[in-house]
Amino acid sequence: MDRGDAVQLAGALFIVLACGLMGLTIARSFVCQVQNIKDLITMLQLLETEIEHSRSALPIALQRVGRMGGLVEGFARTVLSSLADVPGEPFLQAWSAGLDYLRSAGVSKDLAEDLAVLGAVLGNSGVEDQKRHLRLARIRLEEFYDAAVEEKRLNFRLWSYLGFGTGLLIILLII
Amino acid sequence: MYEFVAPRIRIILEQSSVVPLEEVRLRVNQPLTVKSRGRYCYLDEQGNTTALKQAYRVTSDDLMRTVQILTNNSWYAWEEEIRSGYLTVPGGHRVGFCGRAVLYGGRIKTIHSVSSLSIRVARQIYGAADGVIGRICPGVGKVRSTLVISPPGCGKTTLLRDVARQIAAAGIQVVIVDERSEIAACHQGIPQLDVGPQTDVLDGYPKTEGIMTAVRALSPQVVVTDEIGHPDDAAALAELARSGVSVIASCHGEDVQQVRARKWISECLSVFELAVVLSRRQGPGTIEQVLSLGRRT
Repeated sequence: MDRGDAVQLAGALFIVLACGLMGLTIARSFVCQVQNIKDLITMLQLLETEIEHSRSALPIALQRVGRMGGLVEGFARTVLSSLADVPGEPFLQAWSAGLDYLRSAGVSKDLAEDLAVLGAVLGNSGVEDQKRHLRLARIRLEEFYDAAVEEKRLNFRLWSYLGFGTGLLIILLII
Repeated sequence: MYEFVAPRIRIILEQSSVVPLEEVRLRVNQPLTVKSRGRYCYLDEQGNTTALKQAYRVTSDDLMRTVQILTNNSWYAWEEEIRSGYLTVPGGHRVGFCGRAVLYGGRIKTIHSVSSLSIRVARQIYGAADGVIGRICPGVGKVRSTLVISPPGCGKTTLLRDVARQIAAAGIQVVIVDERSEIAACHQGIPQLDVGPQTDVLDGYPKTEGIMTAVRALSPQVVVTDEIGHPDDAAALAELARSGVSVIASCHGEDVQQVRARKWISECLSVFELAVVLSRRQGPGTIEQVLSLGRRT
């Protein structure tokens, strides 16, 4: 094998690897989406528990919920820092800052909009009412979760192989 | 106290030279009103006392922000307190809520559309009971059951608090049955005002249940409670007397004669050995009379 062939082989390997990694990244995003929604559902369950059984004020409840780590920790931290910035600010504004964080972390726009509806009522009424709103939001999130699991089932394997396949196709076309 | 109001109101109050502040009234679209030395006055945007027309008008945004701060953005966490009409915040300050009642089964379920807030600034007056403590505690370990009588705003609760503090400081076990969280001004169960080192506070307990709980579980030597006059109070106070527990309580009234004329309170009077009558003649807490009642039980 001369030097030209070695460069061609290295180039081909690079293309296959790059395309494969792109495919794996996309495939991974389906897994992440499922995990994120699962975390958000757990967050709502914990919030409901804090509100129903401990009567914890939202900042305290969010601090505790934030200990879950991952996406929820970032979300809770963003909401809490927004709350601390301006005393008396409506909770919805702090919640919206948290939703911006979720969007930037890859949570879908539709899901964020559903959570925004919850933010508009969170903290504004009695325990029973809060429980109702949290349960409704959780039901919606569970629908998103089911859809995300289905999407993952359909797309994860496809994208895992599609990247590498595309890389090989490009090489074949180049040759 | 200023940290519990909306930023705009806070700035006005901080600039104001009205001292001592006794009360702040926030009503939507109405002038910002404060009370000091028993008199109400209006404040302008610079915190100066002013006429009605120049007064700063409280906005719904001010009120909403104040409610958010008071409730820590969590109305549900204070639902029970708000339902009863008030909230005690750190420092012992009491905030009265006024809005639209939502009824369920004929009882108030919650309050919506808060339209005004009344913030009563808590002030502890150490030594408020100095003028009567010698009569209430005539000797070491002895406490005479005492009824404090006065019209509203004359310092009954302040006197009770200081009596409790001084008695407890003398090593006597005191239980405060604080039905309306006014004596110890508990916030999340912790007294915000000094009620003494040997004092237990049954916060928010209905008087009768609180007295029974105190006798059963806390072995008090003295029970302190506010505003007697309910039909059940006589039996609860008699139980205290039977258990050998002294009681320091208060009730509304101008003098002993007026109190004797009221059915439910007159039934309680047999428990008390002393009556202390207060007025505002020389400012809140003026001791008008200390009378021996001659306990019959």
